[in-house]
Order: sequence, then structure tokens, then C-alpha cells
Amino acid sequence: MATDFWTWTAAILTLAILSFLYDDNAFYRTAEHLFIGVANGYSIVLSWYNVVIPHMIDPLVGAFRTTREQGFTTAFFTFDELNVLNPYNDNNFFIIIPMMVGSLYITRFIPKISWMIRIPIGITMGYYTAIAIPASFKASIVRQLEASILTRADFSSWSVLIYGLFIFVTTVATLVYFFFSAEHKGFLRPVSNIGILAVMVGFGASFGLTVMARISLAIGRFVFIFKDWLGIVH
Amino acid sequence: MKYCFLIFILAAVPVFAVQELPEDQMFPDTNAGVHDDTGMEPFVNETEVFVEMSEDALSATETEPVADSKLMPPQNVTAFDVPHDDGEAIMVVWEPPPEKTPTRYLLEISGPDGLWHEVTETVMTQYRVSQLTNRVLYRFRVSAIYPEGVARSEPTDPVAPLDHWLKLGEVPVLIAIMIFVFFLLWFIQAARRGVELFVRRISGLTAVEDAIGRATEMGKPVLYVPGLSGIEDVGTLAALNILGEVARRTVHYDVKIICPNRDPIVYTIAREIVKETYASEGRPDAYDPDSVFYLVPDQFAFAAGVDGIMVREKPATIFLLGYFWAESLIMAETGASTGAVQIAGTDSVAQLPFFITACDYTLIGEELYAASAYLSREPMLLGTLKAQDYGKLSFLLAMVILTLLAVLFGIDTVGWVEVR
Amino acid sequence: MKRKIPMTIMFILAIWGGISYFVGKTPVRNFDNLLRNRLLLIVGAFAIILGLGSLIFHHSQKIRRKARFWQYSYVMLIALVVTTFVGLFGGVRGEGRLPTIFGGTMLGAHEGKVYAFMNRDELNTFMSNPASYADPDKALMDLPREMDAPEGEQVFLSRYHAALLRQEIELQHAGYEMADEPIPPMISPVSGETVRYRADFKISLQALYEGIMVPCGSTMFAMLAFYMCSAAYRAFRMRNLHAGILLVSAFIVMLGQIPLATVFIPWLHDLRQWILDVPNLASKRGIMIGVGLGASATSFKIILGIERAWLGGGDE
Repeated sequence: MATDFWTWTAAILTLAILSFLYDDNAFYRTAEHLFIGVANGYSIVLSWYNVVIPHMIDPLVGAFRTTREQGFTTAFFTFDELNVLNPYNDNNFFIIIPMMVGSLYITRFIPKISWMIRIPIGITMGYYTAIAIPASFKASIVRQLEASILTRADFSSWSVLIYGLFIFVTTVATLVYFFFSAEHKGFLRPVSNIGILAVMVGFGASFGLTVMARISLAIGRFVFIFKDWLGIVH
Repeated sequence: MKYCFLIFILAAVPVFAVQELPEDQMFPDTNAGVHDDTGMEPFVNETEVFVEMSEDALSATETEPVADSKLMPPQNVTAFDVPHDDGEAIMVVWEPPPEKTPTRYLLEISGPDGLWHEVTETVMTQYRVSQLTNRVLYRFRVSAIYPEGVARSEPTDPVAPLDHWLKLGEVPVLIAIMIFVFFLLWFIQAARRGVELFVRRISGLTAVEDAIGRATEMGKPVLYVPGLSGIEDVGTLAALNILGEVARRTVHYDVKIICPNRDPIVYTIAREIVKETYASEGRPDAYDPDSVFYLVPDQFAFAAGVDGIMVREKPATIFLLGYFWAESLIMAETGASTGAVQIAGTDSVAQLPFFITACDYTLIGEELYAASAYLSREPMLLGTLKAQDYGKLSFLLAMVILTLLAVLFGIDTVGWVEVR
Repeated sequence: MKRKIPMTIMFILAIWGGISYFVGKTPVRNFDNLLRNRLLLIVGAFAIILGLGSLIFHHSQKIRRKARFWQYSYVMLIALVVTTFVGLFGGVRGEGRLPTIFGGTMLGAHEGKVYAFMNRDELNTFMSNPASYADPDKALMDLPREMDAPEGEQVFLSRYHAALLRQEIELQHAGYEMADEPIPPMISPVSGETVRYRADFKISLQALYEGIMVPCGSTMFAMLAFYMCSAAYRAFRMRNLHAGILLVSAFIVMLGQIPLATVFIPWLHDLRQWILDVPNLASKRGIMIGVGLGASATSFKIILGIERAWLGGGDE
């Protein structure tokens, strides 16, 4: 049996969470709220150490120091690594601009200017939606097209050809299933049926592949309880 | 739910009995499962704190010269800038020694520091060295490694990677986007002119109305989870667009909506959407500022919290839309066990099977993106749906034509669309 | 104005994001990296304040209204405050000003060697001038690979790493009596006294992470095994064709993984491979193409201002 405080905590929490499989109960509720509280605190500390200190406080403090040590002219009007207006330098005042934009999020609490919250949202959304376009075209369309084309190499043997043709036809059928412009009637009906059939078989494959991994995870938890905590199994 | 123990034991027996799991999988430490490829999203932040930086690709290892005069080095080692890229890569090509084939090759690089660093060991006769600095000269040499010794080639002439305005390797992507934009603008124009655009029935989406109606009858809330990802996933944006449509209906039916969030930016947008919907539908007084809230950024803590909400609030309808990781089934199964009608939708292919088994309706991949257009019936949005269809049609056409060209005429059409 | 300004700003950022993808010139790439890795990170960090505000509001509201299970909101809030306090003032590994590690043996590492210390003062003395104590004989063992530390940098061993160290010792000194002492006695390089390993008590952020978040998280993850079973059972009971096909395919793939089953049914392995190679691949390709087009269409809708749910439904 373990004597360590944290092993006991971990074991009790493990049991408390597992008890949810039966029903909601006081132990689960406590574990859940504890988990959420600690996880939130943890993320605050992480953003403090990973974002606030290295990207906001350090550059600003460093920029102040540079200005004080090197003098105003050097810090502001030279074009080397000491310039405190160059955003590429480690120490710079430039980051005040994104900080000001970010602080617009706080305008939500001031009704008169609360619309300004849309500015940081718009900036983030604009950039990420735009870079998503070429990225998704590359990964899910051009790359897939490249992989879908049959070449003479696919005709080298019967087994390769049949595999290739099967994949070709099934891809077409799946695409037809996701066609929104036409009702699945007439010719499209059997084709889209093949498509959804393939989709389901494919999903089954993912399901089957994941089961084993998940079961060994569950076994891992039981090993923790019986080996690390209770010390019954060695 | 109660049967699951029995089934679990039955399913676990073969794992113990026959499956030879690797040692570490059988007895994981307390971190068990935190390194699962399929289910666990990457925790970038934690890695930064707890794990030491991995060694740089170009670790400084000064290798001892062990050249053996009897063994032949690789021939014609040449290095050249990868054309039309962002100036970060150099291609190194060499030929195998004429007499004896070595077991592998060792590629080394020498940069401004003048030292030789190992890049990689490979069995191929070419290698693309990336992550270099633009306009800096590098030299390369290749050693043939034999069982009995090593033979090293002469260093290549210095070569610098150069940056270019247009990344030529991405041109197929650019062309595909241009075709799509053409369709998009075409159908948006058509919608503006008032052309009727037909869209077939999508069962998961026709169910939305009924599902919210059901919540009204039962006097219970609607739970809406806009995925677990951040704004950088377009699936999240699609889920937020649908949230607007769902919120409009909850205002109409006077049903309470509960919307827990994992990402603070997504939370902010979701809150704005719900609040504005209440305002635009003329019921700003009915808006509860506590209905959209931020729960927790940790993946499984979020699942634990949502599970708690599901069993305690007993929502009549649950929407799980957006991008999900392994927690998808934890939430979907708990929701199913509470008897709620569940409408799920995700573009995460790995999680779709779980939604299909546990939810009443599942929007598969693209249907998630089609949802806001379908629900709002706004002509311009329907126009983009048509563009998507024509995009698929063009894909099919390209697939067939390029295959025919490749098979009948032996043209290297794969090379045409290859993204480098 | 309330919609035009955000729309315009969004459009400019979108144009930049879209074009910069295709441009290889270094200044463009550098600015793009700056934007993505620094500027947008700073902007996004402020949203956490809103999230946090929402979290505290949500739970204080529960407590004030005495809503159902309001007592648990105290658990959440206390856990939040304690974790944040410990993390901000005690440091991630307990290296901060607030003492978060009590008792126990001080272990430190220097140039790849592990040392034991009587107390924190000793450790600090050593770390401030390790050269004067450079006696290689006092180093007890090489660090296991996981603990490789940059030269000269001090490393506190977490419980996890201490356990690794213990494993390493067990491997190297087979037959060593390890019953009560996870780590053998070591000699302090400063005072020369023998330090016997004692388990310490930590409430550092890392201890909270490993003692609360990891077990809770991995148990939630492990519960998936049960949920998969009940989901399969549910699908089986639904008796609809699609779910049936899904289950059959899942069953074949699962069974094909078990060596014993393939002995009895030889073609099972081939069937499994066919399922993975053909319908699985083709259907996922089909879905991916749709997802790619759908995602791009959604992006275009937002950039062109056709989809403006995020701006709200107001007319201004």
C-alpha cells in the first residue's frame, strides 16, 4: 500500500471519477469541481509563464532598460538590435499595440463602447479563416487529387488494378452522397447508397482500431489502483 | 449504461488473453494515455513547461574523420537551392559508389560556423535539407557507410537557399482556389439576381426544429457545445454560425440555452452571438448572461464538466457541433444515457464513428458547414453551398480526366498536381 | 461604423493571411511569423480575462442563488484560487518564493550528475558555485536520459523523475535492498554528510498537476473503454442498417487484430486489410474533400461578410 499523499489523492480521485459510470454522486461532483478548478488555475499560471512574462513583461522591461542605458537617441533612432520600436527585437515597445488591441476585449464591460470587442475578434477571425483556405485546399483537395489519380503503374497487376478501381469508384460514390444540389433519386440513389455504405464501413474500421487502445487505457488505470496504490499486484 | 461493465469485461478478456501489448502499454504510469495519437489533442503549453527542448535537428556533433582509402565515397555530390520556395531548403543529390552499395549514407552540413554537423542518415540518394537560413552559404558532404568503414566525399561548392516571391510548388493549390472562388462568386451573383437554388433535405438539420420544439414541450433546456477547438479551426466557426440559428429558435420557443465553452475567444464570440440574437429577435430582456459561459481549457476537465451539466440539468436536446477529440464519446454517451435528443456534427473524421453510434442525428463532415446555410435559407449562403457542390464536381472531373490522360497517354499528371 | 470598422480590419487581416501563404520572400515570412507567434498571441491572451470573469461569475451566481449543488462551486473556486496562488508565487516546479516543497531530500543535478543535499540552503550554496565542489566521485550516477539537463542548470526532481531515477537504480544495482528507500543514501557534495532519501511533501503546481489533473484526466480518458462498449450496445439495439454495418466492420477490424482469431479464420486478416485499405481510405478521402471545400466556403463567407453571425444581428 502506498504511503505517499499524492498517490492516495490520485487513487481516490480515480475512484470518484469512475463512480460516474454508475450514476452522478457527491464524490464525482467533488472530483469534477476540483478538477475544473485546478485545471483553470493551471491554465492561468501557464499563460502567465508562457505568454504574459515572455511576450509582454520581459520585452517592455527590457525596452525600458535599453532606453535608460543606451539613451533615448540610440534606443529610438538607430536601426540595430537596440532599437526599441522594432517588433522583431527581443526588447521593444511595439508590443504595446497588440496589447492595446487585446485590451479591447475588456470593453465588453462598458456598454457604450462594447462594440469594440469586435475588433480583436475580427483580427483573430480574419487571419485564421484566411490561412485556413489554402491549408485545407492543400491537405484535403490537391493532395487527395494527387492520390486519387490512377496511373499506368496501377495496371501492373490484376490485384493492384482491382484495389485501385475500388478506391476510385468508392471515392466517387462518397462524393455523390455529399451532393446537396440533387435529391438522391434515380441514378444517384444506388451510387449514393454505395457511398454511405463505404462511409459506415470506414467508420467501423476507425471504431475497431480505437477499441483496443481504449481498453488498454482502462487497464492502465486499474493497474494504477492495484499496483501503485494498493500494492496487491506487483 | 448498466450493461457496459459486462460488455467491457467481455471485451477486455481478449486483450489480456491474446493481445501481446508492449510493456509500456500494459503497465502505463500515472500519465497513462496522455500520449495517445488519435484521441489526445496536443497540449502545446504543457510541453513547453515540463519537457526540456528536444535537440535541434542540426545538433553539433563533430564527427571523427574515419575515411578508408579502399572504400568508394558517393559520386557526384551536388547541392542546389530548391527553386521557388521560401529560401529555407537546399536539395542534395548524389550517386551511389560504382562498385559496392553502402548500407547507408551520412549527410553532413557546414554552415557559417565552419563546423560539420550531421543532418541525417539515409538510404536514399537525395535529401531535402530544410530549416536553413535564407541567403547564407552552406556546404555539404556525404559519407558512404559500409560495414567495414566509412568513405567520405569531397565537400560541395557553397550554395545558399534563396527566397522567391511566389512559391511555385503551391501553384496547384492556387489554381484550385481560383476555380472555387469563380464558382463561389458566380452563385452568389445568381442568388443576388434571385435565382431559386435547390438544396436537398438533410435529415440531421430538419431535426433541429423538432428537437427544440421537444425542449419546449418538456420545459427543459437546450445544451449547445460549440466544439472544443479554438477559432483557428473553421469547424468552430461553422458551429458558431449554427449557434446563431439555434439561438433564434430558442428565443422563439422561449427555451433556456446552456452553452459551455472551452476556448476564451470562442466563448466571447458565442456570447456575442447569443446576446445579439436575443436583441435582434426583440427579446433582450429574456437573455440570461449566465447562459453562455466559460468552463475550463483542459480537454477532459471540460468533458467532466459537460457530463455533470448533462446529468444535473437533464437537457431535452443536446447539440455537439464543431471540432472534437477523444472526449466526443464521453459526452455523447452520457447525453444518450440521459435520454436527450442529440444532434452531433463534426469535421473530425476520427470522432465521427462515435457520434454516429451514440447520437440520434450526425452531421458528417461537410454537412456541418452546410448547416447554417440550410437552417437560415438565406439565398447567398445557399449560393455558397452550390459552389461547394460544383467544387466536388470539378474534383470528380479532374480525377477522371487526369486518370485518363495518365493511363491512355502515359502523361505524368500526378506531377501536375503535386504540391511541393 | 460599429460593424464597418471590425469588418474592414478583418478583411485586411484575411487578405494578408491568404496572400502571405503563397509568398516565399523572407521579409513577408518573417512578418507572418511575428504576427502569428507573437502579436496574435498577445491579443488572444486578453480573452482569458473574459473567460475567467465568466467562470467566477457563473459560480458566484450559483452560490448567491443557492442553486442546486451550489456547495460544489466553493470547491471549484477554492481549487482555482489555491492553484493559481501556488503556481504564481511558488513557481511551476516549486522554485518560487512561496515554499511549496516541505521536508524530503533535496535532489539537484549539475552537469549530468545527481546530487543529494541536506536542505535547500546547501543546494543553493552548491548551485551558486558548483565548481568549488567539483568532485566527480561524489556524483552518484549519471542522469537517466529523460533528465538530461542543460549544462550547469539546476534541476529539481519531480516525483515522476524521482520514480524514474529509482527505476534506473533498481536496474543498475540489481539485488539492492530498496524496500523503504526509493533512492539509496547519497553524500552531500557541500557538507559531506550522508543524505538518506526521504519522500517529500509538495503542493507545487507540478504536484497538483500530477496528483489531481493527471489522474482525473486519464480516468476520464480511460472511461472511454466503457462508453465504447455501451455505445456499441446502443447501436446494436437500434437495429438500423447503417449502425449495423458500422458494428460489423468494427468487429472484423477488432477480431483481425487478435492473432488467435486469424488462426481459426485465415481470411480474416485479409478482409481486415481490405476494409482498412479500400472503403476506409476511399470514404475518408471523400469526406475530407467535402470538409476542405466546406471549410473554405465557410471561411470565404466570413471574409466576404456574407456570414456575419459574429457581428450580431443589429443594423448598425
